[in-house]
Amino acid sequence: MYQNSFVEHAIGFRSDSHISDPHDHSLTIAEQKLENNSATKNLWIALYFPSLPILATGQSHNNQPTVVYETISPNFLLIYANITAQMIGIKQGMSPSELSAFAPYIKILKRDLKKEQLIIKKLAALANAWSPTVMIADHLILLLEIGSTLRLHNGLTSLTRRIERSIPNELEDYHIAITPTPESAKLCVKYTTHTYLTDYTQLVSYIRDISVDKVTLSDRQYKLLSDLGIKTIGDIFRLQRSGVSQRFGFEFLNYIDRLTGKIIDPKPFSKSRPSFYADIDLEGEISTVQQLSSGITSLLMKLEQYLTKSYAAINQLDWYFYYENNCYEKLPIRLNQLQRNFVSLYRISELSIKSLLLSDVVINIALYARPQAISELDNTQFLITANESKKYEFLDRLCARIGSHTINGIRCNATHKPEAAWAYCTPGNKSGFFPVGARPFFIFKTPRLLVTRDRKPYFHGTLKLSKCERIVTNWWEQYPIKRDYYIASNHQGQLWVFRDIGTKSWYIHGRF
Amino acid sequence: MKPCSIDKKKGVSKGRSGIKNHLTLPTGYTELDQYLPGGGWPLGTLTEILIRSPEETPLWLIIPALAKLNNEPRWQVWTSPAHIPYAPALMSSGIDLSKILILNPPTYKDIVWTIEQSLSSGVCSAVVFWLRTLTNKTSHRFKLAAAHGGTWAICFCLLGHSRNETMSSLKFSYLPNRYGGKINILRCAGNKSHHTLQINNNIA
Repeated sequence: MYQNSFVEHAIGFRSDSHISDPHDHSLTIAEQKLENNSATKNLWIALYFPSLPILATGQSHNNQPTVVYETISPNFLLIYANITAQMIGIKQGMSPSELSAFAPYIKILKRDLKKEQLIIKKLAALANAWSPTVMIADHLILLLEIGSTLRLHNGLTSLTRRIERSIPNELEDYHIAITPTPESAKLCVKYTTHTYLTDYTQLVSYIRDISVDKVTLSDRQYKLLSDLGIKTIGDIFRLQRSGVSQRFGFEFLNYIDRLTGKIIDPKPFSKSRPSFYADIDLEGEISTVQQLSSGITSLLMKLEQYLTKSYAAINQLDWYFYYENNCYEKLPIRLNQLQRNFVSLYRISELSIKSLLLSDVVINIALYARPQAISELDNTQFLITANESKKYEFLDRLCARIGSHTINGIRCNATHKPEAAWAYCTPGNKSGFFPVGARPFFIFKTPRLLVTRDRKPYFHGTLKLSKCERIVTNWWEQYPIKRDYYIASNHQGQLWVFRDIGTKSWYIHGRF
Repeated sequence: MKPCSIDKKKGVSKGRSGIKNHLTLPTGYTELDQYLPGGGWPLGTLTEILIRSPEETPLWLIIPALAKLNNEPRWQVWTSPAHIPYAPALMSSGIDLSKILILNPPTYKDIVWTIEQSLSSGVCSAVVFWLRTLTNKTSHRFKLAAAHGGTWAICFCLLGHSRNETMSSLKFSYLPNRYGGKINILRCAGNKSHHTLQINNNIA
């Protein structure tokens, strides 16, 4: 019955179609028998959050036309335009020159991918309540396998209602798609706001009208499709498999097969990890830090036993100190490398706890940690040398004493805007190298205004200026600059100064 | 050859031939190397550089040596730097930024603790720090810690405190000028006479 309906559907594409050997590469994709019957038992939900980029910037737009962009060097990509921006004609994928026509009226924000990933991971953790199989796709989409959990949720309608109630208000413009395969769910969720397609036999006919714009392809592939006059997924189905493989690559053919459920589509899924929690009631009047050591020792020994049994390690732990007056104090400790050894954990905890000022008598101490299974770690995690290990233990001791917020690495950023060309980062992070001209070893956080005499910069004396270096940034940046930089020298030393082309003022930006 | 004399007040052993037990590292400036015992910066001990203000820190003077030390798989610690060490300039000079630690401890006590821990840990090739003033006691602690950890300690102090007696192995004052700066070597183990020399940095 299923096969007949598929053949009838296939006849709709070509009048001379017939059922043949599925491995015959002369057949079109639509005419192939679907081998994987288990696909009919699967059902997937895709949730797409198009406004996540703007939410992640943390800036309110208050009905002002607002767009979010990212720069994937050297290209500028407009990835989101809010409703107000869309109403005045701005669309995703617009080029900078097209956008410049709207320049004074729109708010342009840079994408914060890190924050987006944080939010989507939180949503994924929330989604675990609806399905044990949750995946994050393309930064903005959650994929959930729900075929196996429908009975638990009393059916699809009940499940979708629960999802609707649980999505945060800030993301209420989400799209939802329910289809039999994960790739088709991903595709449909971008195509329209609501898709409910539970019948596998209707999948191909539903997705054939979707434009190829919705598929993630390279520029070359888009051009090729356009040159061939292919506008929809259905047009691709009409092509010969061998031709598709030759022109677009085996990966693309593989994608089409996963889209239609012809082949299975295994994906890694995100899973929330179990946590460790233990506490201890303290006897006697514990009001100094030294008196806490026996409680701390006991809890850390329990943690070590737990980690050994579960073959796991931790890189963070949280201490809680509960006072007699019903208040509590939290002391988070972050480690630079995974640990499960009692002695190391005790030394670092002791250093951190020394700085505590107990406000009252402590009646209970609790320890919370999120272990990571060692099997999930990168292979090289426990192959670091003794010296490397010592380096990070030293870092842990520093963090415990002076706080991790006071310890930074530095890195270069790929921009020629001087104040943005550097950033603090996690110690040990590798930095890309971006060749620049002569730069000072010290830069000021904000440039300092220089006095001028006869329109020339003056700093405890006349300055002799070197050759000029003009630095101009992209107009769409939030704070674009246009400056002429010089190395200026006098008896006070060598300075890095610039003249702002707009305001004609002189500033000192750093010292050599 | 005169025997070594022990200055009983200061407890410092002075030898004619200069520092015997320290490794040295060429500064990158030959006009400076010729005045330093061993022909370079003394490693595993304390170098003290006196400046008029933190803004006039002559980083260009120490960067060539830091870049060479950066080849070691150890941290290079900058404690309470006067301003932001500019990553593109450091990277252009050959410094691997992944080995740099910038520390900003909240209190003076924490600063001293951090410096001492960094020097004695053995996992730091160099520790650069800025202090308003360096006392004899603190400099002694730092010197011992540097020797223990095999670390090069570089302290930038204010010029107004140059009269403080400290235990640094190398001490000089620095005044910037148009072409680089003028260095006045105040103490250099094994060398009694002061030297003033001009070092050009070829930036301008």
